[in-house]
Amino acid sequence: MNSPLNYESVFKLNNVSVSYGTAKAIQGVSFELKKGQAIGLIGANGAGKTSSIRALLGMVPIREGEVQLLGQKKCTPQTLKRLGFAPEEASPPEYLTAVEYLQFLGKFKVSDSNRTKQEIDELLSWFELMPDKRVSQYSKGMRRRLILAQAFLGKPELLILDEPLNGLDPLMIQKLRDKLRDYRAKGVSILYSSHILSELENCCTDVVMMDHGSVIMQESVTNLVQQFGSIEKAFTAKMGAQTS
Amino acid sequence: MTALFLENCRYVLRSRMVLFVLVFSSIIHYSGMKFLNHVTLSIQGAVSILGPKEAVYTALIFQIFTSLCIAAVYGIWMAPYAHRGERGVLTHVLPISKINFPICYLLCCGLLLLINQLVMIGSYTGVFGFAAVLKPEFPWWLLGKTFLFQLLCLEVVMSGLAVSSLFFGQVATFFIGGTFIFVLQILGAIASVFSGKPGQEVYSSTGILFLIYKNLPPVGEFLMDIKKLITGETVGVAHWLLWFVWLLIFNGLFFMKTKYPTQERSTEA
Repeated sequence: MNSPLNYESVFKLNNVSVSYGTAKAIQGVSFELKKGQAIGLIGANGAGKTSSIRALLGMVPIREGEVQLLGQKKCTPQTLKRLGFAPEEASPPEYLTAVEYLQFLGKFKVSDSNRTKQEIDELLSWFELMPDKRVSQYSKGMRRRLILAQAFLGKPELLILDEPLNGLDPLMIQKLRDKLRDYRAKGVSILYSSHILSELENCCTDVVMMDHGSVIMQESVTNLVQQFGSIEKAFTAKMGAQTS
Repeated sequence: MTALFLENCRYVLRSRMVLFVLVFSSIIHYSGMKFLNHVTLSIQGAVSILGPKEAVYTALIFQIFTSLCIAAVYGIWMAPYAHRGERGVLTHVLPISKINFPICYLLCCGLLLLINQLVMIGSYTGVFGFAAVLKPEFPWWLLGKTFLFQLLCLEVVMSGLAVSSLFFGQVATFFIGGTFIFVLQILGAIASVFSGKPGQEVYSSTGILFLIYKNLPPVGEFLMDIKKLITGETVGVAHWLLWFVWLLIFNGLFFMKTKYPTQERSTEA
């Protein structure tokens, strides 16, 4: 399993285990994302999806195993600069406006100030955000859109989206689906954790299914759809088999 | 680093902390010195009027109180703001070395303490006039010396409270911090009584309790050290060193704590 990282590999979780106190969150998790690939991370609540993402981004201490991310052995400021992350639950600082928040992040993620302004204008317009309204005055849905917008800032090589559809209206879900497809076509790799399995069929190339902190299946979307008819049916069949 | 510092300055401004510092500190300093300007002391028949010179020394005491309040508020509520609750995750993934955070908070708190110092000088000027400040005997050197010492001590207090706030939460830190400072003050007073000479260090021979106390931040002797500076004595190198070591310890702990984002939800009001 300790194969050297090749150019195509964007990240690799190798036999990773994470615990919160005495509770084991994930155990022996291994999967790899390659350049241009989009992995849908699925599983029931508490299956270990968010913990896997946290382990990947160095947000929790790893008890066992190793992580390789964008050519590095651990998550560093340099790797963070090259990826976009939209966490499931997060809020930008309430005292900032949307444009100020993106400008602040732009100082770290984009080297050219003209490009920053252009990118921010595009993102604000695309996500239909009110630039001069403070985050404290934003609704839950608008905060969610701002969190997503910041993930796209700086043209990332890797997008990590944890339940990105939570709180989005159907039109925005449709727009986001198209945007992700577009990004994937440009060679951006995506790790997409979601409970809305039908969305993953549209956006992902592969699926990693987790249960009780372990990976129970890794398969391409095409194979799953051929075999089961849909990801949802595959999930139900696999989870039913696990339970029985 | 500059972007992070400027962002924190914006937070300090938007949270109205600067406004509070200006108003609160001005009221304390101005009213205190205005009151002193009209005080006449009569001791055993000898009448003396408190003037500009005495007011500077008293203003330093007011300044310690206001600066302590600023350091406490900044340490308990403002420095941990970006690292707690739902903001913690986003702060964690900023592409920046985590060591920049404590450095940035030290700079911001230092800036607030400097504003407080300027308010004190401004209030003094308001009460006694420009002429009093421009006189050659105005103790600029004394103000500078005490400010530097206060800056070091209060940055330690701020950092300690910030670390405690990250570990135990803000409400708990308010009481833990208050109790800790109170107990150290009492121990400092006891140490002085034992020695018979206030502020001198003789407690090392009086048991394990004072051995521990000797290695804690010398909060109990903070006022005595300030008094030493005012009266022209020197503060022992051991105390400067101890403050500096605790500054490193607390900021090291802050750095370690921000290595992983805090999992719990924000509890601030």
